[in-house]
Amino acid sequence: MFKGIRGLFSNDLSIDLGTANTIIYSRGQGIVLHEPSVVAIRQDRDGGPKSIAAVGTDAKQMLGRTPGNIRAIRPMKDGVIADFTVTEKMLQYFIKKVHEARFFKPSPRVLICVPCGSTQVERRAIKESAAGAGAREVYLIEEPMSAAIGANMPVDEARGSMVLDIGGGTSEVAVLSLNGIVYSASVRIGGDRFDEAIINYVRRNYGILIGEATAERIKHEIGTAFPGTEVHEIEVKGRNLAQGVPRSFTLNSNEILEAMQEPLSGIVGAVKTALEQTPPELGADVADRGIVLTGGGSLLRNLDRLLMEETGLPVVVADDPLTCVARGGGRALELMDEKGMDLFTVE
Amino acid sequence: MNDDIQIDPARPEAGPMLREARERRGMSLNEAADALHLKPELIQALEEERTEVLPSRTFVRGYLRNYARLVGLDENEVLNAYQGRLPEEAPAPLVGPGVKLRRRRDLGPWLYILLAFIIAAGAFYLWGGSDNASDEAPEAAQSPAVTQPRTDSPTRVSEPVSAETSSAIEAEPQADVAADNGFETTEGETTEAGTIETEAFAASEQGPAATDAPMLATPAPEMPLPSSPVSAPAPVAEQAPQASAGAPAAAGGQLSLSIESESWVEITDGAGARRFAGLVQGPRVLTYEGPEPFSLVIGNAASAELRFDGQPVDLAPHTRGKVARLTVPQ
Repeated sequence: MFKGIRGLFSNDLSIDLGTANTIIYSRGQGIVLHEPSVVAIRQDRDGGPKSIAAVGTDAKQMLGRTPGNIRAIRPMKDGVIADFTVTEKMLQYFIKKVHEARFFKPSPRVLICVPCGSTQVERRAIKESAAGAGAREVYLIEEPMSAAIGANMPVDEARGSMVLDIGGGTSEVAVLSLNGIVYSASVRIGGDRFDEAIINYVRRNYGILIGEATAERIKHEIGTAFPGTEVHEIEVKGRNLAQGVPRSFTLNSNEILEAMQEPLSGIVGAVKTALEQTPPELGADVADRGIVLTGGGSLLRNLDRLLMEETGLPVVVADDPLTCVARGGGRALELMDEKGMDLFTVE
Repeated sequence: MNDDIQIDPARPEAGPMLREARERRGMSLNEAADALHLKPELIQALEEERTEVLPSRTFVRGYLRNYARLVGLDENEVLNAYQGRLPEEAPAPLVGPGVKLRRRRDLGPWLYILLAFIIAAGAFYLWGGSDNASDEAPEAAQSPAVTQPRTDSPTRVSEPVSAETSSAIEAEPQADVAADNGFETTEGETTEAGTIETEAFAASEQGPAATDAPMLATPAPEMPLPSSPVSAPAPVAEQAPQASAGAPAAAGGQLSLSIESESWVEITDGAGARRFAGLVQGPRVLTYEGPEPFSLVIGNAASAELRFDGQPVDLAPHTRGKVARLTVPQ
């Protein structure tokens, strides 16, 4: 009952609840939070009470570096909730964080982006965890729609626009026209799969084990999706499996390209399938203007080049691709208020 | 954006910058177009900064980024140089035709329910409330059927002596004359209206024939019977005196309300019947006889003058704001 009153003291939020990062856009304020979706849980003795040790950036630094009584976990997997309670706690923490210095417990209206491939059960789980985290009302929007709005694509026109959103857990490709989704597909390939592929490659070829954080650093620094003219190198350290001691070694970008071949071809395949399935008129529009890339994955060097060569279509990366989804969600919330419509909600 | 345009001269030209870089690399327009998978015309438009033929901002920025990378220029430099030339576009409106339709569909059922309710309420008011305030001719035409049982029900109607009847009839013309005198200065029509009121309320349960009767009978008020056959069939006319005979039997006083300017008036008699409810336009006198006490609501008390049994009643103590609510006799 008091939620309505508390709502007066809360902002409308658009949340991109991603596998890797959670980004919150607050109406009228812009991006207010951008943190990894990681929670560190402390449990001092077996069967004892659990408590949150850290959330977000602090928790991410603990990933793979925790003592026995702390577990750093990523509650989202493949774009959907893997651990319901922890997701709820994380959302609660984030919502509270963006309402700092408020006397009342925040009770905002929340719009959350869900992968278009997610099932009803998964969507319901997301909705309920947001409600449990204190949201007054929860709306859901399909990620590609939100990404396209955030990238400022002309989705309202009777003209096909293709968007490829590469997140941490999933990649979504969709063709939009007249505010609706004509075709959408979701593949469970994202940034995480790139990291995994790098770990596996290094273990296989060097006999050295590296952690997720190192793999991610390698990807950020020298990762490339298309052979370029220049070759970058990086020196990393890992545990030599044979000797059992940490060893230092050097990797170059061509090796990383080789390592990531499998997930990359998965994404290219998804795009090609989408182009096959798109009605010819819309396909012609897409060929005319090109495909827009959003999401953190599109920051991978030369990914647009790869897609351009593979599909023969122009491919562009949106401005600030990481926050596109959250910004698009925020815009959708505004529109929902202006027009009083529930165009974007999906059950 | 205006600022950008002003700074333009000092800024490197993005289009020529791209073209020079391309030419320096010995790349033709078509080669560049092939590498970027864009049409050569589009590349040319980018170089000539013809923004009107280019697609939306998101795409143009992407093309520029790709082009800059292709010819070995710094992406941000090119984008900054191009910034002011790109049309500043409002975010997509996102209002398709389907959206509004959907909204209307949501509202639809409620609108119809509301409409039906209003019509039902209106019909109830018209038909249900008509037999009380029957100063309209078409409505009155229906009332005989309704009024018939009523005239029957009070047994005392048959009892009164004919002398009483005549006295009642005599009392009416007096009122008529008074009304006539009062309105001689204004209009003949209103006088007639006043007369109808007078008659109608002298015997509340009168039929249309009776209503018509005094109007025609005004020149010879003491003879309501002869006039009635003119307008109504005989059986109805027979009721007229009967009904008017009921009025004195109820032992009611005579209420006379004269209204000078527009006012809402509502009069309920002692029997609980609503004798009049409506907006009275202009100068008019309402006269009623019937079971006491009368309760009145007068919207514009300042323009009303009330007499009960010939005695003036002061409205001031009952007036709050402009509205007077009172019961006479108290």
